[in-house]
Amino acid sequence: MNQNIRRYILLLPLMLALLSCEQFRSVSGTEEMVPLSATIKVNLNLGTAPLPDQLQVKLVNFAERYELTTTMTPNQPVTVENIIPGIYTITVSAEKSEDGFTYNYNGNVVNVGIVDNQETITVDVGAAKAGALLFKEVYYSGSRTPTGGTYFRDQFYEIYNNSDLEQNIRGLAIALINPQTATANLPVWPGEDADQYVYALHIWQVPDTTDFPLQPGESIIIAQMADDHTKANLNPTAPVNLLSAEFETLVKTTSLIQDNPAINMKMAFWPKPTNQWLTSVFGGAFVLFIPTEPIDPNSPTEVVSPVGTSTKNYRISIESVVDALENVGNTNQMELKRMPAVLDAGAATVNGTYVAKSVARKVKETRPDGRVILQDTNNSTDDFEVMDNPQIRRYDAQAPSWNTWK
Amino acid sequence: MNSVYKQFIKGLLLMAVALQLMSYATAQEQRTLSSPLSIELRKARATWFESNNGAGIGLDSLQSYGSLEAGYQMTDGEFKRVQQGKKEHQLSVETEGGQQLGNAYAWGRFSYHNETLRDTRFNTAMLDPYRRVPYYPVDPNLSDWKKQHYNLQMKVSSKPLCERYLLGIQAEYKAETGAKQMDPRSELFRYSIHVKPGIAAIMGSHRVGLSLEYENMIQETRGHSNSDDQVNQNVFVMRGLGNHYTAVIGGLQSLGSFIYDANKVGAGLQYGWQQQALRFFAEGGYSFRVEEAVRDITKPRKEGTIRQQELYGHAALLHEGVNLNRLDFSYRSSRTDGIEFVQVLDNSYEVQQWVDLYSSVRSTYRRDTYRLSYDFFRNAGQEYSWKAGLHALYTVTDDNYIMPASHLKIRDLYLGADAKLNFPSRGHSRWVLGADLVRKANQKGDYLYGGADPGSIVITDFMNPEVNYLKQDYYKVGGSISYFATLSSRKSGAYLKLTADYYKPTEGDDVRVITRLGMGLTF
Repeated sequence: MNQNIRRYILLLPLMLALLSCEQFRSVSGTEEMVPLSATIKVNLNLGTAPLPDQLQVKLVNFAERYELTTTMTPNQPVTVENIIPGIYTITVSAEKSEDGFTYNYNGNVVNVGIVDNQETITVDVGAAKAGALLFKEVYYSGSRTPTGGTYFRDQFYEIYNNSDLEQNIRGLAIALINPQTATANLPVWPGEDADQYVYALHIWQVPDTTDFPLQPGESIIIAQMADDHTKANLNPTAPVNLLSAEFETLVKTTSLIQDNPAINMKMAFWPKPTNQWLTSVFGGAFVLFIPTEPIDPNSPTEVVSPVGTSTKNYRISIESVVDALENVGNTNQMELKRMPAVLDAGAATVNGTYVAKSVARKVKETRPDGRVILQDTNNSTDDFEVMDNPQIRRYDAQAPSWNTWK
Repeated sequence: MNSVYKQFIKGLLLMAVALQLMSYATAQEQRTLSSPLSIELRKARATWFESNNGAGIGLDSLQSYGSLEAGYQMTDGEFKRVQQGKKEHQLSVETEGGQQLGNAYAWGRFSYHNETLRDTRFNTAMLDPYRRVPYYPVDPNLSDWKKQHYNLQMKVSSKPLCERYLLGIQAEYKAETGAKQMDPRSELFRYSIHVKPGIAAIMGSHRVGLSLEYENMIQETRGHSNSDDQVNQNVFVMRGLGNHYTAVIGGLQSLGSFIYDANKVGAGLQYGWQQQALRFFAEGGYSFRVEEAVRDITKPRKEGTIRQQELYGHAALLHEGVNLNRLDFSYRSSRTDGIEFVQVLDNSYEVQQWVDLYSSVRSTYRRDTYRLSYDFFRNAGQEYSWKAGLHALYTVTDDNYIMPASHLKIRDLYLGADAKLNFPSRGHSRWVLGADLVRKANQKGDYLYGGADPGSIVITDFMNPEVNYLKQDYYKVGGSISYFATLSSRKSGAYLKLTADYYKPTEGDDVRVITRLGMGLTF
């Protein structure tokens, strides 16, 4: 025993010296940071859309909270100086109105490491007519009760017709994307074409048995529970009364939950239902889509699991997505995006939980008749702002005529 | 590794205890009196004692002595750094002893401090937020801290080999623990071991020495927690000069705990010269230290690394006749680079680890100190009748964050004087009265934060008040009174000591008062 101790004590300095050598070697030669420059090129895939006159280029390093912006013409690469080496989201965007249509041009690369000087980065830019149905306001954070407890049944999702045409939301589906919260540990999905899909943990659907027309400037509210949440038996300090919501995700598991006037949505996919459709108060990632085929929760092709797990997820083709919104827990998690950049190049956050705040889309313009057109650049960081008081039908959005209980 | 450490520490502890007992036993056989003043004077005469070369302690003629002291210290007042407590209480026990072993010499010291800090702010997970590591989390909540520090030191010098060479070693082991008392909470442990082998050679009236050093330090946080798990707590992870990112403790995305691991190597040269009443000593050295800060030990992500180089020098000139005159000049310069990393998660299912993409020096920290002092001991025999001292200290702080550009530049001049009077009393007892005065004059104070969030509470409530404190001029007035009485053997004694220090800035009404009551034995 004593010999062993002596041997260890003799070996100790050697072990420590080796460890310190490794540590010293890891920092030897590390030099002072020098700002980098990078060249941004675009690869335009515009289809029938006109060529934009000028493109906005934005480089955001979320970890450093550092942002660089510049402009470029479509055919001329631009060199950006003063880049702090790091992980960037690069967004190229433009907007152009022609022939009565508004076209959005968007392209981005997410989590690209810029660590060498004079790198050239190519961004694929596509074009689309401005979306018709949009997430207008989402209240996911929950609120505090008068005694300081937590309350989350007042979550809601407002969908707005931002176009000049009537939209029918029959069969419209809202899905919560896996993973529930922003994380660096993203699931790995099987298949060669895995990146052509997003993967839903839960899907709720507007009944597809009847039409639900939505006029320009009208919105629908999807409530977790379409009740007056300020009632004494719920949460008198809740910020919203959702009795006028058009739809609710009813899961009647406690006496607190009642079947309200709102139309019950269809639980289209939810392999492991819980007591209520509670999405993460840290901020979930959501897509709106209109399924081209009926959602089959047992489909052998559409229900998939991440590599190494047995969690059931429903895959949704990116092409079928109408709008997307990614929320994260705080600004530092912007780089932990789980939504494909083609759907949402950024993320929104209320920067806390149970803070009774919502994220709402910014107003781009107000028409002479008072109808607002909301900003839609497919980048939630830019398109959304934090609202201290969640509010349904903000900016005088109207309820649809078929909502007779509003 | 831990068991090896424990065995080594157990050995050190036993050696320290043995030294105390031996010095006590031997002191009984010797005629010299050990008192606080005699011990102070022996150390004032010593030149190698404070050096990095343990071999030289055998050249200092410290003789055998021992002391044991228990003390209680109270600190109160608003004139303080932000991370200090408004009130602080400290209970301490310290014991120290030196033992002549034939021609060899051994010295040991053990101390224990138990601290309670009231109403600290902006320190979530550092036992010592001032140890110049820029990477750590802070929160704005008022909180108490409880800490315990154990410190074990030893120095051993061999007898002269071949009548010329002395071999020696110094070692120090520190174990500290602490816990933050309000949400967000953390429980911390820090261990460090510092070993300095050395050799000294006697060449007539000249002495030369060579010492090496190695240090290893680990600080670990055993997880953060909230007592109220319904409320997550916002924290800010500092990266230097106010630059920070935000995080949360609590919930699914809670900030992981930080682990710090440091290694240091160094070397020093010493030179001594002695001619009758005149003695000269000089030491110079260099050390290189690297400390890594890592978050989440199970999936380590680098928060930052510091690379620190230190250059130091010290010269002392002593003249001793009836009186002892001592002139000291010391210089210490450190250059620290704060290295930050760009990391990406290798998300492969089987791997899942953070991988370095890039690293660079993002911040630099310069500290220079120059100190000149003169001490005069009247009638320096076993004790002294009175002493007086003067000192000047000049410090330079020049910290820079490279991009976004931020800086902190502070230059301070401290001028001080102190005196102590020894009043023999009845029998072999004596009263010792002391006083000291220090004037701090700030020569330069400039802070610029160029980061992303100048309106953050980290800047408005932490960095700005901290810099305001550092820029302040102040006076410090200190006083002490102690009573020492020999015990029956007249070789050992007991004492009671009361000290008080009063800090008053030249502007503002805040003050800081530190009082300490100590009682002890010398033998």
